[in-house]
Amino acid sequence: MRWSDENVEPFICPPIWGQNQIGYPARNDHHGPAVPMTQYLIERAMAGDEAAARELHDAHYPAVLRLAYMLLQHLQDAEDAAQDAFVYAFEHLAQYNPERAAFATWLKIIVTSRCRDRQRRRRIKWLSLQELVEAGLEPEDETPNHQPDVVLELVGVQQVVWEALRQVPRKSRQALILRYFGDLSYPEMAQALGCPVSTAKSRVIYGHQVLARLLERDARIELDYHSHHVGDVP
Amino acid sequence: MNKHLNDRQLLSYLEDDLSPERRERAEAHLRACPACRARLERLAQTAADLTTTLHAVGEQVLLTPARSWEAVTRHWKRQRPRLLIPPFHPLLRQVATLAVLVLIVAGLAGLIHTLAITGPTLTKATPMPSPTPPASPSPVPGPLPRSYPDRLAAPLSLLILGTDGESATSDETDALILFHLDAKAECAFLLSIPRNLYVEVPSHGQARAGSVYRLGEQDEATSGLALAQETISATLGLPVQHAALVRFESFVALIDAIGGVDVEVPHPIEDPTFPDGHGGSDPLSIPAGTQHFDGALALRYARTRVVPAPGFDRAFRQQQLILVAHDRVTRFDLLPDLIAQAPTIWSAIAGGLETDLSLSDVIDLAFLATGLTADDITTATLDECCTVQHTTPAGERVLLPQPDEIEALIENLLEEGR
Repeated sequence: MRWSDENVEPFICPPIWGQNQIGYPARNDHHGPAVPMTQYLIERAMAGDEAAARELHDAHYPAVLRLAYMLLQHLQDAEDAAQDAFVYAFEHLAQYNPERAAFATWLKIIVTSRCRDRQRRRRIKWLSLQELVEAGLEPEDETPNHQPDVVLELVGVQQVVWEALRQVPRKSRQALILRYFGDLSYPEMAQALGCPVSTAKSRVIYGHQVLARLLERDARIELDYHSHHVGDVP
Repeated sequence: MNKHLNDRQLLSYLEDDLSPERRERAEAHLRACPACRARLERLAQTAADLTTTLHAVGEQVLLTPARSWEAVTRHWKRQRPRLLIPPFHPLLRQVATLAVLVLIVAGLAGLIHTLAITGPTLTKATPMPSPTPPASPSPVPGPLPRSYPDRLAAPLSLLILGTDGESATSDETDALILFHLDAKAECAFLLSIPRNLYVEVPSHGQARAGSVYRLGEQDEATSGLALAQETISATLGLPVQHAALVRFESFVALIDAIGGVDVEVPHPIEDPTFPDGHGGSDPLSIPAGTQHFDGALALRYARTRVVPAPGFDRAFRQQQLILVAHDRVTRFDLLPDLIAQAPTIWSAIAGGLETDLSLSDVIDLAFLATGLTADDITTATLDECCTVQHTTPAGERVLLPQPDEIEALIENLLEEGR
């Protein structure tokens, strides 16, 4: 498998921007943030214009998939969640209110809630597996979480931070991801996570606290490991 | 001041989410407390590390937008016609409403007629000795029973062909509307079929939907209604039990039969070029204010193309007339009069109505349809969602039906009404 970012599209600007090939308004360089274009595409998509829907999908897909991957840490699940999110979004375009949030933010909130649904389903499965264990039966698959299926090439601090983040309890981890990758505000996080705004903030704080301890401990373990290792070498 | 900042305060300070007053206090403490400054720096560092790490991880996620889009459309498509049930064009809505109204009024008149003649069940006092309708007001019938007879339990589809008189000579139908009513499932929809839909007509090859009635009339072996019914049934994949052709002159007859209508005319109308139907003109002049219209004037009021003021257009006037007429025929205190006039109304309307529905069918339909409000009825049009534009070798611009999309639309309509 090839992990590449060659297909990365600009985050909001649709790739077709300015080409005007299917009757979209031409780009206006002087007043042209993506918002009016996005709004236009949304209206076209609502009217059933598949090309417009595709523009929206392609423009927002990278951010949505990446966020889903962060939250689920499993690529196939993330792809499914991202697709669910887009299907849901296209079916509920009428509910999108541009005055409340950017379209990208709306999609992030949707995909987060799709990811939570998936995890909930998986937890239910896991709980029933535990019942099996308690009943003396051996479940075939004991791991509630998939192993990561993306081989990450991270170096130095990023590797350490990522490994530490993976050990942060789920809810706080998700809050950190929404805050520092999704760039959501606390009210938006609250909506995405289905919790009060104060709770969303508390989760970020708790996540920071856990992360701080983990990073310190990791630093210590690393040192200890090296000293022992060095000492053990004959 | 001496108290250390807690993590929440530190984060709020970092994210600039403090009131100016608290911010000032926090800054004062930070200036004085190296420990808290160190914690703040560490917090900022972690936040920055998290941001770069997460973005670095994000960059390594394989993107397959084409595959994703394919999956999205696969799932979205199943739902799409529901999203895309396109509303009637306002004028078409008028035509459809008019056709249904005429049918319903016909049914009501028929119902009243029948009751007046057979009378014993609902009019307690005066059982009619003869089929002659009463010349004087009769007792008001009691409320109609709302339970449906068993024979109405099955879903009913009725194809309504509307023709507005201008084209009646050519028997080209202007409007084709499928009215589906499922009393049991409480589902009703009106589906407008474009007259340039290119349909497969049994034993006639392909033709525009608007011409099917004429083809059937020209064919010795069948009738226009039967052929239209068969054709549309096959095109939609939905059994169509009945068909009716409604000429809108019957609306004129209806207005006359109920003694005309009083209409509030907001602006004077001057149309010196109103066509007289023989290539000349028959100037139309209506002053503002409350006017009493007979049937013919009501129709001219509805059809003149002048727009004396914004919003006071044909669609508005037609809507206005329909509401006024509907009010008049359904006003309870007029029922005795209507009963007296039922035979006249029925015969007047029946003259503009050609249908394979029996009188009792029409009554059933009216009985069911009067229980519906406009909100209960879903409306849809077979437009570009289910058709593809095409030019025939003869140069006719037509719409080719797309069977899969039509099937999905019908499914959604049946589901939507529930």
